[in-house]
Amino acid sequence: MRIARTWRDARFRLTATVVLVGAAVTPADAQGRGAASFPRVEAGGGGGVAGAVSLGDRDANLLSDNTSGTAFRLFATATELHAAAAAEVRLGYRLSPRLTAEGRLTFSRPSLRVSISSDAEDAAAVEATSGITEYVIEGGALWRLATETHRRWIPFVNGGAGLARHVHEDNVLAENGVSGYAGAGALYAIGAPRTPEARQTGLRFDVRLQLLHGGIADGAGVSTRVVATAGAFVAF
Amino acid sequence: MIRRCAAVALVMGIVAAGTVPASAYLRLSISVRGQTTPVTWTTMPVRWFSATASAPGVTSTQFQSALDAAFDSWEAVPRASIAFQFAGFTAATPSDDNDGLSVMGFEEHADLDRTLAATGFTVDTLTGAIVESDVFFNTAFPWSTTGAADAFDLQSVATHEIGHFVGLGHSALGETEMLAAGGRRVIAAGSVMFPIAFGRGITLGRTLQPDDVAGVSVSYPDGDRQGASGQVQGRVRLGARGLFGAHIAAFNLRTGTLVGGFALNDDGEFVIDGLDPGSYAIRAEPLDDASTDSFFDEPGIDTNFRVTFHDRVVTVPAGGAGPSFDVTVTAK
Repeated sequence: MRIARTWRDARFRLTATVVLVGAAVTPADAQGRGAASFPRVEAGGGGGVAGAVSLGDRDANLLSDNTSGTAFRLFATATELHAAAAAEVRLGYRLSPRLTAEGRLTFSRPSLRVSISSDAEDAAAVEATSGITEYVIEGGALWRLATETHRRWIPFVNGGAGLARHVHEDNVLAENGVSGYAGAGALYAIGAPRTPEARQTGLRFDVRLQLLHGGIADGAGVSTRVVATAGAFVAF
Repeated sequence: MIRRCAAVALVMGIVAAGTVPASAYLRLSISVRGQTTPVTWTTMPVRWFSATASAPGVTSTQFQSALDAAFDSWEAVPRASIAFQFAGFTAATPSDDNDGLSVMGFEEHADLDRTLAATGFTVDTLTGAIVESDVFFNTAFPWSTTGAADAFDLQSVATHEIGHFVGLGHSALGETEMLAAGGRRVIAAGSVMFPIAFGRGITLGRTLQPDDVAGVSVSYPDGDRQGASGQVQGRVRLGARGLFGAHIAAFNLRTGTLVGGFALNDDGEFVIDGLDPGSYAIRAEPLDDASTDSFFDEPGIDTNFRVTFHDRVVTVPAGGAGPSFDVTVTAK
């Protein structure tokens, strides 16, 4: 069956819009001050790998016929969201020479994998799988660690938070959780701009630790994974 | 004119040491005009009487209090809508069938040397509605309401029998071992409705398990909460053949809860309802080494296959079911 659209979906879309638009227009006063000269709007995209996420180990337990309260394990499971290729698009607004507010949408198709083992009746161990479509939309800040215009490589650190939506195979269920990230990377400028305000293009390399909570990760506390992406950007 | 079937046609019991194996909830049903119809109470609250008979170590008042607590457990299930009312003490006995009273009480059945308690019904065979149900607790066994180490816990056994009282059959979520003296002993159970009781002094059976909760919430769905749960559906196949009577357990990967069900036709088709939305691992197993008549009246239960996990994670949506799937097993 197909999932019905609910207020949750509407909330998700609304939040996504707020994050992206907010990143683009919030610092209106920065231009008014006319402090530094540099391209304000940064757009980009790329691809990479979203690492595996452990969603927890759980035993299928029965109540033992004793007064001690010990459980009888029928079988054991270990669940993870497997590593997968990821694609992302970004939109940012540079608030200052160092600080950029940005929003990002990341898309991937990981598989949900469950290792089932240690069956009390000796059933063969199995790795059961199903497909997941993942959307993560995040807003955050990027801080350049250098600002010299002649430098090709500009390292940065960044961090932020957002929402993660996981749609199960056949669209039978969608689960929404929250995400957070902290990472680092580098921008590589291609060519030298004719003027400080001129459009700038380059490459971006990004590695971040991403935290997932709730939604598909509900019950596992906070799950973490590494996401690494590479792509291009244009600043204008 | 209403025809009523005899109570003996639907008697479910719990045994101290019986002949049953491992894993799920099953709803009692009858055939109404060729349709399989679950038996349920249709008028709420369901009134019950307590017999005045006592047993060594348990007064009639203690008996009534233990039963009250057991009824409360079922009534408290959030997604179910069922209510009970203690109607008073009576001189009637559980063996008085068709007296219009649903009576719980002690009775001596020395001949039933493995049966702790049993539930009988009078059912309207035109609608499947339960019109009377009686439960006896066998005084051939020692009873306690305090968890005494040398007696069976009355509230635990009552909780099981009240599961039958509301129309649930036995669950196969459990593991047993053979006894040297014959029969089987329960090692572990994942449902109050497992047909073999825990041993003396153990009170774990007082608390409903997810399997029990799923069963009663399907039989008596709370209208306000309908749509909050979903189901899995599929078939258990051995080659091209469906396996009637195969037991299937659905394990919620997030909550760690187990709910069971059975393949209920020759195509091996099963439906497990009352599940929380989420991702599930599916395990199919035979009612091996078992007296399958604890679960089914029909012969032909195939137990000659290996315990098998489905190789796909199955997703349960809210208020419906995902695509049907096959669990393919191999012969032992």
